[in-house]
Amino acid sequence: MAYRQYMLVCGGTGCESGKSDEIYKRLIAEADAQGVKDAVQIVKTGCFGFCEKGPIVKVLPEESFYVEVKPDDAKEIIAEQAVKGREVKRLLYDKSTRKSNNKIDDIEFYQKQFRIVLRNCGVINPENIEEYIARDGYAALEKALFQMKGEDVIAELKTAGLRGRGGAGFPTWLKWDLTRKAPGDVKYIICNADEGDPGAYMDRSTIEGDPHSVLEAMALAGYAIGSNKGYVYIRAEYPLAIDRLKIAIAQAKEYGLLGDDILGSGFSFDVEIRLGAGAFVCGEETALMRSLEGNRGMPVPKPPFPAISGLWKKPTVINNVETLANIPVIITKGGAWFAKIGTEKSTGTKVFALTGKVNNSGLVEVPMGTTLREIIFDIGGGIRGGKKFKGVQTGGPSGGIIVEKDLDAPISYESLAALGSMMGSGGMIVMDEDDCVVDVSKFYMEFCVDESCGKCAPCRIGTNQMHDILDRITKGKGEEADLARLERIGKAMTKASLCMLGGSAANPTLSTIRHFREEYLAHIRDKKCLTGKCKDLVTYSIDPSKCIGCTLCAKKCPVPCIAGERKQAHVIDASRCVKCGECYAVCKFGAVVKN
Amino acid sequence: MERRDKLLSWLHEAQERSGRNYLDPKDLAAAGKRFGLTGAELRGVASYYSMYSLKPRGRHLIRVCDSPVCRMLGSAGVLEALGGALGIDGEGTDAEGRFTLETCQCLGHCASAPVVAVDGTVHADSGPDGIRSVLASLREADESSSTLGGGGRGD
Ligand SMILES: Cc1cc2nc3c(=O)[nH]c(=O)nc-3n(C[C@H](O)[C@H](O)[C@H](O)COP(=O)(O)O)c2cc1C
Ligand code: FES
Repeated sequence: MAYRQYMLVCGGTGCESGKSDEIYKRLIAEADAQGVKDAVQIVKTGCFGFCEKGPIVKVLPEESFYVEVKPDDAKEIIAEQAVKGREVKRLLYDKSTRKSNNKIDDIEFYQKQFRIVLRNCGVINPENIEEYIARDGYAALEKALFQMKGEDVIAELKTAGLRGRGGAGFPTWLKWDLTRKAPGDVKYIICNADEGDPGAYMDRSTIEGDPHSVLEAMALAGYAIGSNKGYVYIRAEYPLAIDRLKIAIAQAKEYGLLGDDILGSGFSFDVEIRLGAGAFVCGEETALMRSLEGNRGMPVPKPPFPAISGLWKKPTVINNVETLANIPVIITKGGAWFAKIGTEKSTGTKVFALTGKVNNSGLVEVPMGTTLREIIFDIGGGIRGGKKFKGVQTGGPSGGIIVEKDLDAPISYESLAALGSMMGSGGMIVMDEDDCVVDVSKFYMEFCVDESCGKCAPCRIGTNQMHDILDRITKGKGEEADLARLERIGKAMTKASLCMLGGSAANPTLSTIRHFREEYLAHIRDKKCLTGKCKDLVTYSIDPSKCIGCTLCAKKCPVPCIAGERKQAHVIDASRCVKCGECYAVCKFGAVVKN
Repeated sequence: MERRDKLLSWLHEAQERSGRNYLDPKDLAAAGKRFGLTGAELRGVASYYSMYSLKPRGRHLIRVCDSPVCRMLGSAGVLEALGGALGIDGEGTDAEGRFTLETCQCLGHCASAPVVAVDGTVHADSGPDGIRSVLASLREADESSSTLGGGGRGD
C-alpha cells in the first residue's frame, strides 16, 4: 500500500523524555479519527541530532521540519497537513525565512553536515530491519560474502584510511590485519559501546537510530579476520539503545543475516550483548575485556595487544561504535570514495556531540577538515545569550581546551593534538565568559579521581593530589608554587600511568594553565574569581545609588538574606549569603555588584 | 556452572528484583552457586561498579548527573532542589526508604543538561522548571508501585 505522506517522529531518548512517544501515539490516533490512516504513515525513527529543539517531527514529501512539538499539536498536524495538505507554520523551525519550504537542507544546523555514520538516524525506523535493508543495509555484507575475500575487505579499509573513532585514531585496517594474521582458531569481535566520556553521546544515538549498521559491520569484521562471535559491550545507562540492539539482533537472525550460514555463504556469525555497570575505565579496551569476562574492569599493561591476546586471551578486534558504523558504507561505496572525504591523514567524517553554552546543541557530523569555528558558530549558531566565547573542550577529561585564536584550525587527529587537545571520542563542550577554567578543570579532575580504578599509583595518587591543589586554588588558598606543582605532577602521571585514563587526566588542567595562567593567578594572588563561579571568592553587594527598591532580588533570594523597604535601596547580609547569584541574575538595573 | 561473562547482567537483574535497588546477600549467595564464585570474589566485582549497591537503597532511585556539562548548566541546584523536596540532605535515602538520591557521571544526554534519571528513565532539561515534572512523576511512581520499584515513565 502506498502512503501519500510520511511523518517521522524522533524516538531518540532525548526526544522520548520530551514525550515523543505520546506524540507518536496521538498522531496515530488522530490519523485514525480523522480518517486518513491509510494515507499517512507515522513512523518512529532515531535521533535527528537537533536535540536542542526536540521533540522533532518531520513530514515527507513536504520535508516540513517541526520542532518542540507537544502531544497536543498532533491534532492540528493531522488536520492541517494530512487532511488539508497545509503546513503548520507555527511549529516550523524557521518561521521567518520560509517561502515555500522548510527543508532540512535549508536549516543552517544541517547545512555543513555530511552524514555517513548518521545516514539512517532520523530516516528509518530502527526497530524495523526492512527499512535498513531498503537503504542498502546488509548490501555490504552480501557483497563481501560473495564477491570479496577477507583480505579484500581489509584492503578496502586501508584504501579508505579509516581510523578509530574511539579516541586513539589507530588505523582500523591494521588492527584487523594483525588480528587476522594472529595464530589461533577462535577469535572475537567486540563493539565498544561503553561511551563514558562526559559530554559525548554519539554512540548512543547511533545505536538508538541505526543499530543494524553496527551489527553489519561486526559481521564484516568477523568475515575479514575469521571470527564467528561478536560482543557488544554497552553501558547499562543506555536502556533504549540496549532494547533496540536486542530487537535488531533478533530480526537479523530471523532474516538469516546473523547466525549460522549467513545467506547460504557458509559463514556464520553471532552477536551477543554484555552490559557494563558504571565504570568509565571499562571503556579502555583491556579493562573492557576484563569486565566483559565478568571481573573488576581494570586495565592491564600492553603489549600484548588485543589483536594477539584479547578476550579470554584470544585474538580480538575491538572497535568503537562510530568506527564500525562507517564500515558498511565503505564496503558498498568503496574505500576510494571514502578517502576523498576529509583531509589526507584523517579521512571521512566525525560525529561530534556539541553541548554546553551553544545555541544549537546536538549531534553534528562533519567532514574532517571542517573548522571548529564552523561547527560552533555556523552549525551551532554561536554562543547562548550573546555571551562571549571562552573555549571549547574536546576530548573530554582526556583532552584540552581550545581557545578563540585556534578556532580556524581544520579538525583532524593531528591538528587537535598539535593544539594540545585531542580528537577524543567526539564530545565538544563550549564554554562562555561565565565559566571559570579553574573550576572546570577541577570538575574534570574530580571525574578522574572518581573513575581511577586505583591499580597504578601515578593515577590513583596523582589525580587526588592535583584535585586537592585545584580545590584549594578555587577556595583562595592556593599559592604561586601550586602551578609548578600541578605541572610536575601532571607530567609524572602522563609518563607513568598504566593506561590513558591516568595518562591523560592532567590534560584539561595543563591546557587551561597554558591558556589562562592569568586567571589562575587571579585566584591565587588576588583571591578573585572573575566569573563568580568559585563561590568562596565572590561577594555580592548592592550599589545603593542604582537600586530602585523593586524588591525582585529579595523575592528571589533563597536564604533570604536581602532586606529593604519597597522603593528603598536594599542590602545583602554577606554573613548569610550563599552566593547563588540569583540576585545578580535578576536585577534589571545592574545594582547588584559581584566582586 | 554458568560462564561468568553473564555475571554483570545477572547482578543488574537481581538488583532490580530486590525492590530496594541493591544486591541482597541471598542473591549474592545464589550468584556464587551459579557462577562458581566465592563471596569475596562477588563482593569484589559488585563493589567495583558504581551502579551496584550492597546496602538497601530506596524503592526509587534518582540519579543526578554531576559530570561537567550538567555541572556547568546547574546540576548542583537540581540536587539541592530534589533533596529539599524529598527531605534528603545531599545524597542518601529518605527515612521511609522510598527514594534514594545520588549523583552519577554522564548519562549521555548532555545536550539537554542538566539531566536526572529516575529508575533509569532520563529526564532532560531538569532545570528549575523541569524539576517540577520530575517530582510529579516521582510521586506518581511511588503511589503506583507500592510493592516493587517499577517506576513510571516521565509523563
Ligand atoms: C580511560 C579510557 C576510556 C575509554 N573509553 C572508550 C569508550 O567509551 N568508547 C570507545 O570506543 N573507546 C574508548 N576508549 C578507547 C579504547 O581503549 C579503544 O582505543 C577503542 O575502543 C578502539 O576502537 P577504535 O580503534 O575503533 O577507536 C577509552 C580509552 C581510555 C584510556
Ligand atoms: S554531562 Fe550530564 S548527561 Fe552528559
